[in-house]
Amino acid sequence: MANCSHEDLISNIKSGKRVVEEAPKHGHQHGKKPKLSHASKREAIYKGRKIRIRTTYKIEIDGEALTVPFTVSDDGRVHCHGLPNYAAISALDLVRRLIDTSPKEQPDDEIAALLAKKAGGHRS
Amino acid sequence: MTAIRQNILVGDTARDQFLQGVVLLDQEMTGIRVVDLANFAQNNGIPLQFEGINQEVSTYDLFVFWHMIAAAFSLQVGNAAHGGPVFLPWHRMYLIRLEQELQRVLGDPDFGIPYWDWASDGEMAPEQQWRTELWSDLYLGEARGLVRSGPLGNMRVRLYQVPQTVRVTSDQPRPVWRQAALNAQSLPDRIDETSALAEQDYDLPPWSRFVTRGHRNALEGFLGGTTMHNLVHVWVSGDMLPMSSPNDPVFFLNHCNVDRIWETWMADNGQVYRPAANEGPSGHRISDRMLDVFGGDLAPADVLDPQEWYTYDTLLNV
Repeated sequence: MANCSHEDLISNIKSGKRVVEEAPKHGHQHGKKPKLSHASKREAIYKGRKIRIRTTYKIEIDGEALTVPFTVSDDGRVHCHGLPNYAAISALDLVRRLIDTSPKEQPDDEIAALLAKKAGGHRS
Repeated sequence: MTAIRQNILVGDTARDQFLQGVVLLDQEMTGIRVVDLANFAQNNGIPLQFEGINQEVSTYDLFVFWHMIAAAFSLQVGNAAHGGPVFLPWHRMYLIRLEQELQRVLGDPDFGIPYWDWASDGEMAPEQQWRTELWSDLYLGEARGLVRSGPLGNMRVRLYQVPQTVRVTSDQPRPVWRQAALNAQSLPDRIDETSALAEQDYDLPPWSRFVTRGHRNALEGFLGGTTMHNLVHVWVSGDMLPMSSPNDPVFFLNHCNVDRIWETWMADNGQVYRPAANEGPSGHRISDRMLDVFGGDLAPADVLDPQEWYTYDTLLNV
């Protein structure tokens, strides 16, 4: 711990240093192409009977598919990564909170163009 | 040196230094631009998408970025910092790193991050909780709306995660934003705190946010709805809701208190951690290296005893 400094922080990020041993294996794609549905699975054994519940949400806001996955936990509460601390009483409640907390306007996107330029012409 | 972490409502010096320090880190530009952050995430295989303006970011922004990439690093259970056993040790490491950066800019190697004893406020009537002195210009500034008063009125948010898309957006710098007590009526109280401390196991299978017992999941706040640490995020709301929540410095006061509750639990139950090295999900085991943009190699086992870095003025009476 004592060997890490402010300079390490700056140089690691500036150089794009690899700080993880392996890439995430089970990750959903943050902000990538939207999936139209997301399924979550709940299983339980009750009186020797195996219960399996698959729940799929297809959510649109103003006709546009929601990109962030929704999952449902055993107690029926609904979760999504966009509001990670929130266990909603229903999917509708969660969508309302998403609308409340997301900005209506996005800034001009310079980043995408810069990343595309790097991917197209400067890949080593 | 060992820092002593104090209650922010008791230690005026700790309060003033904390507020001054986070503003200094927020104003310390790094030469790193947002496209560098996107490249860093890409090089590490972290599926985080960026959009917006390619502005220069501050040291404080790098902590916001670190929290977002840890959250985007999905594991078989939860992610590199949440939703599993590593939640408490990862945030302990994260706070130690911020504390060291604050010590640097303040020129005070003994500085300790203060904590917000939110369960004390949770004992008040809900309509009083967001009207305490904590939400005045002497402390954290406005509880609702844009924070324009007090030292934190000088903080600027440059990067945030849009809840609806989970993309990281780089936008024109703006003040911190809060909506206290609008999405949750009340903070956790002493009964909630006592319940979390009464859990005898640190964590247990399936090691996730769906486990129905255990100190970690009780304290993280997934037992019985939105509780404890999670509830504080939702209660403050605004910038405290998405994974860019360190944008609001109250994040660190909350997590310092969470860490203090964990430390109280360990004082009673011993420095025990599960899963062991040969059980449970990868990324959460006691010897698994935690995601650290500083390039360190700490595992949960290395931070169970924090006395090398800090102590608390008082633990909870249980």
